[in-house]
Order: sequence, then C-alpha cells, then structure tokens
Amino acid sequence: MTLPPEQPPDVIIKVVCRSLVPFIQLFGLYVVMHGHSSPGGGFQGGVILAASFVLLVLAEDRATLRHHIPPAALNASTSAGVLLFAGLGVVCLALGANYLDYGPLPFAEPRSIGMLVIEIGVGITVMAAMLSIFRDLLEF
Amino acid sequence: MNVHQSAVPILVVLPPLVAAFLLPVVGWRFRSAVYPLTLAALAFSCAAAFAAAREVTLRGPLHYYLGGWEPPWGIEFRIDALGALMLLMLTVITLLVGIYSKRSVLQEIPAKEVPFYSVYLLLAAGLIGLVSTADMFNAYVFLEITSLTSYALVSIGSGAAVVSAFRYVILGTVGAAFYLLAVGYLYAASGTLNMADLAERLPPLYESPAVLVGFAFLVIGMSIKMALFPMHTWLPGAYSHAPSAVSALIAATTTKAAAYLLIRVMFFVFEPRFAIEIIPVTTVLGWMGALAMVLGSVMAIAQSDLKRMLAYSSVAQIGYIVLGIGLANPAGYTGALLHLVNHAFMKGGLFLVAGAILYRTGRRKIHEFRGLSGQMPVTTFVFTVCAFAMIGIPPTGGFFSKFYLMLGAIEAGNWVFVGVIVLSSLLALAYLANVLRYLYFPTDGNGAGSGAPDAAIPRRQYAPWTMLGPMVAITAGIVLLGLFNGEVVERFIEPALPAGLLGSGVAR
Amino acid sequence: MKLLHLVATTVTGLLLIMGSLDLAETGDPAAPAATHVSPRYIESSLEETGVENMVTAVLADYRGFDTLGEVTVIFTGAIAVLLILRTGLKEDEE
Repeated sequence: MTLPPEQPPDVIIKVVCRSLVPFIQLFGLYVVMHGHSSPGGGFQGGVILAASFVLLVLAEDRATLRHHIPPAALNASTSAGVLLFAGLGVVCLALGANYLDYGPLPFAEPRSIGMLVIEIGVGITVMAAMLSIFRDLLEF
Repeated sequence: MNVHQSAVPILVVLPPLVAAFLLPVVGWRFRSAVYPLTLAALAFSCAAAFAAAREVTLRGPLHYYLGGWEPPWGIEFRIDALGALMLLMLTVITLLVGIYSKRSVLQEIPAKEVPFYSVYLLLAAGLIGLVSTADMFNAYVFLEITSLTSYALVSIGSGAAVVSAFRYVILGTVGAAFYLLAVGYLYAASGTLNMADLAERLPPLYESPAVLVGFAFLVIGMSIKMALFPMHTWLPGAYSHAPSAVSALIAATTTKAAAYLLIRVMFFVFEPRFAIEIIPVTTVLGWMGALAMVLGSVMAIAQSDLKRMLAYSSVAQIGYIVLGIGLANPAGYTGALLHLVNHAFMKGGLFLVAGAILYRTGRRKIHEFRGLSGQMPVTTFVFTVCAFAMIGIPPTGGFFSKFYLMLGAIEAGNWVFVGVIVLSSLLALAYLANVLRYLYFPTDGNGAGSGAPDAAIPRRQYAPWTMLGPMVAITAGIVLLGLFNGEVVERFIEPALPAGLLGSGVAR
Repeated sequence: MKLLHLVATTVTGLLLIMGSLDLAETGDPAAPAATHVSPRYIESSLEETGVENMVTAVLADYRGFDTLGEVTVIFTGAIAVLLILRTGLKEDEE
C-alpha cells in the first residue's frame, strides 16, 4: 500500500501539541494511580497515555513514534503489563494464598497495594497495546 | 456445605496464559525457544488436567476461589466430572496439535512463529478457562479470548482467508453479544453471576419474561458459536482457509466449547425441565440437529476440496451433538457428550491428515490424491481410522456415541431421529469412501487413470515425525475412546448427569 | 431472503423489549441486583479491601480475575494485529 507523501508538519500544530503532551500524560498517570478513590484505573489511564503519543505522532511524523518508543520496547511493555498482573497472582499463589488473593503480600495495606500494582500493569498493557496497534496500522 | 477446594484448576489455565504473555518477550531474542516453551506450557497444563481428572473421580468436584473470595461475591472455578472430561479433551488436543504445528507453521506462515504461538496459547488458555469457570461473566471473558484468537488465526490462512475471517468476526461477535445480553438479563433478574447460585435462585423466576428472553438469547448465541445448521455459514470458509494446524485445532475445540457452555447452562444452571417444558427448546434443537445432520452431509458430498468437505461434515457432526442435547434423556445426553469428545478427536485427526498432505504434496483437491496411499502410508492409515470413526464402525469411538444417540432416540420413541442418524452415517460413508477410493486406488473408477502414481511425488514420502506422532496419537485416542467408552461414561458422564432429564434412570 | 432478515430482526427486537420491560427500574433498591451480592460490596468493601472506590474494589479485587481476562483480551488484540499485519521480518532489522 502506498501512502501519500507526508506534508511537512505545521509549526503551530507542532508546538501546541508538543506542549499539550506532558499535561495529557500527567493526567493519564493520575487516572491510573487514582483509581482507588475516584473514577479511573488502568484501562482509562492507559488509553489516555496512549492518546498522548498518538497526538504526538499525528502532529509530527511517523518516525516520531519509533524515535520515542522503539518497537522492541513497545513489544516488551505490551507483555510486561499483563506479566505484572499475572505475575502478582503467581506471587500470591507462591505465598500460599489463592490466585490474585493479595492478602499475604508483604505490604502495610496488602490489598490496596496489590490493586495498585495490577492497575499499573493494566495501564502499561493498555497503553502499549493501543500504540502497538496504531503502529502496525501506520506501517502497514 | 462441604466443598472440596483444590489449587489444581488454576494450574491448568495458568501455564498457557503466562507462557502466552512471556513469548513476545522471550521470542524476539531467542526464536528457537518459542516452540519448546509453547509445548512445555501445554504439556504442563495437560498434566494438571490429568491430575484434576484423577482428583475429581476420587473425591468429587473441585472448587477454587479466585482472589480468595467465596462465591457469589468472587469468581469460582469449578471442575466436575463433565468439566474434567472437557479439560482432558482440550488439553490433549491442544498439545498434540501444538506438536504438529511446527513444520506446517514454518511452511505456511514463515517468520511469524512468535505471535502465532502466543495467540495459539491464548486460544488454549481461553478454552481451558471457559470449561473451568463457574461464573457466567467470567465465561464470557474467556469466550471472547477464544473468539478473538480464532479470528486472528483464521485470517492468516491462504486464499480467501481474510474474507472468511471477517465473516467469522461478524457472526461470532453477534453470537457473543447474544450471550452477553443473556447474562445481563439473568443477572438483572436474579442478582448473581455464579452458576451454582443462579441454579438456586432461578427456579421461582422461571416464568418471568427476562429469564425466558435471557435463556432464548443464550441458546441463539451458542447456536451461532457452535455453527448449528442455519447459522453455520461462517464455518466452511473459516475451516477451509485457515492454516492446517489452526483448522485442526479450531475444528476440534471451539465449537465444542460453545456446545459445552450450552449444555452447562441448559442442564446445570437451569433445570432440564425449563428447556423441556417451559420453553420447548429441546424439541426445536432436536429437529435442527437432525436437519444439520442431513444437510451438512449432503453438502459435504458436493465438495471437491478436502478441507471444505471436512468443514461441511463438521456442520453435520454438530448436528449429532445438538440432536443428543435435544433428546434430553440420559442416553441422548451421554451420546451428545461422547460424540463431542469423539468428534474432537476424529475431526482433529482428519484435519491433521489434510494438513500433512498439503505439507508434503501441496494438494487440497480430493481427485488429486490418486494413489497417495503408496507414498504416505501412515497418513493414509490415520485417515482411514478417522473415517471409520466418523462413519461409526466399531471399535472406534464414533460407533459408541452413535449407539447412545440411537438408544436415546429409541427411548424417546422418535423414529425419525433414528432414521436420520442412520441416513447421516450412510452419507458420511459416501463422502469419506470417495476420498478413500482416491487414496487407495491409483486409477479412477472409469479405468482411465494414469495407472502409475503421480511422478511429481517421490516414491515414499512420510510426513515429518512432528506431524506423524500427533496423528498416530490421535488415532490411538480414537480407538481407546472406543475400547474404553464404558469407562469414560462411568467415570466422567454418569457422575455429572443432570438431575431431571426425561425418563431419568430408565437408560442402561 | 430480505424478508427473512426483517423477520429475524423484528423478532429479536420484540424479545429485547419484552425482556427489558420485566427488568427492575433503574435505581430500584429492591431490585435483585441490589439486594443479593451488592450489599456486601457496599457495606464491607472498604474494610475488606482498604479501597474507598467500591467499583475499583469489585473490579480489581472481588472480581480481579475478570479484569485479568479483559487485559488478556486487549493483549490478544495487540498480538493479533501484529500477527496479521506485521511480516515479522522487519523485527530482525532492529
């Protein structure tokens, strides 16, 4: 498939988007971390984080994504998130509890921390999965 | 209440799941580790399934509370005799097809082993989870995993695979949506998702429209997923265009998983009397099954492509299972379950043969197989045994499942069904004998054949051992299922016979 | 054939309406969904899980395995797209 030649990105779009991106990412992180006490969580936060990169790529050019997130890192983090989630379950299993029973984890508030860990795992996978699909479609 | 908690159920589903997540990390660096890691995960899961089956037969159903939360608040895995039978079947098939897949994947979809095996393991995990779970919504999640992975695996096949996969996506999603709606209605009416809890809370609600509609949607959704006759249109394309190993796997497992879910909900979550009397679903299913048996076989006869023929034959074989469900008496139910397991083995075996022939000779059309028995003797032998099982010749497993179905039909006094079972077996004989004729006889029926085997194929061409091993194992499985069918029925089907089937206790 | 589609769609729609009319009103405190499992989530999720947001408590703890399944679906999506679109050869050049 041949794509039309890329237009050189407009400088205004570039500057505005570039300056927006950190705020979007900060908000994404907030949504991931704050799922405990307000609406939010890994799924929503992960999508927001992914959207920030998509915006960056749309404002700049296709090489940007590859520059900011190398393909190998993208592949690795798609797996890393779910592995964190499933792995935490295996740790629970190893500590003698049922799968995903965060009770015996060695933290002050094991259940709360356990949930935070899996929300972060979800966030990483959702972000990386969205970007991975975006990249595959872009480079197809 | 005395429940037997055991950690075995989680050990069956975890290995393929975790291995699927690990593969993309490990695989890009060490490509040679992909295949061994996949097999190790599947083998571990298979061993755990055997352990689970052993424990179930000795001590009764196994329960596992995920997250340590007891049902109905948390999610429960529950493996009873029926679940154990399904687990054994699924793990053995996924392992065998996994071993087989090596060479055909290298040939058919080169350089894609990493994502292929990752998706393959996810499909295995989804199927295992689907039969282990005792939670309606959790079952939906696993159903989605199996569906998504099947779509992806079908789409990387040859020819019109993408179109077939797209059709499969549309119909599969409609089926899943019906299931989800059903779960929603049942939850709204009863306030619970746990199957055992639902079974307790539903009976007073049997007359309420939400439950009736939920049940109807569930039956429709699962009928689409298992490709029951008028809703089978996604199946032939998907099976015939998918890569060989994928055809074998999904033909053997995905429709069976849907059939399992239907059986589970119809006879265990609901009381059988609901489907028999309150909405006469069983009667409708019985006739639809009969229709599928005849029309599927007729369409199979008309095919010239081996995989396509096998696909249409699957439509007919699903009919047998549904007919057994529709009979709703112990013999029919036993026949349906036996046929479910038998068909997984025999259709899996047949697709493996089709794949091996394609791998060695690049041929898919039946008339091109002339005299292949000389070149691929073992493969031809496997095909012959599988074909005998499909037709229902003792001592293969296929005979006994049909025997139970016959018994069920006679018990129900439905002579049309008896006739249909015989007719469909004869039609199966017709289309399979046609293939056997080409395989064994170098000349065609008119005596005008080229006589000598095709020069393009070297004299003896055994398929590689990674292909032959699983094919022979499946053949052995078919014969063993026949020889020990009494054992299977006694250990795995009778202990979990749903209470309240028609004429309970009369059979046997 | 088109007529058949019309009939199928109409029947499905009517069934949906029929079933929905039977459901409890939104926010009805006496609805089965509000009286069976929910009370425990509402009353004791904070003390049992240590999380104020009970939606998170249900999703990530009581029914955490479902969430694992859902992330798996997303992971599957990414891997499936990769399987279909990427040739796999590109990966070697990095």
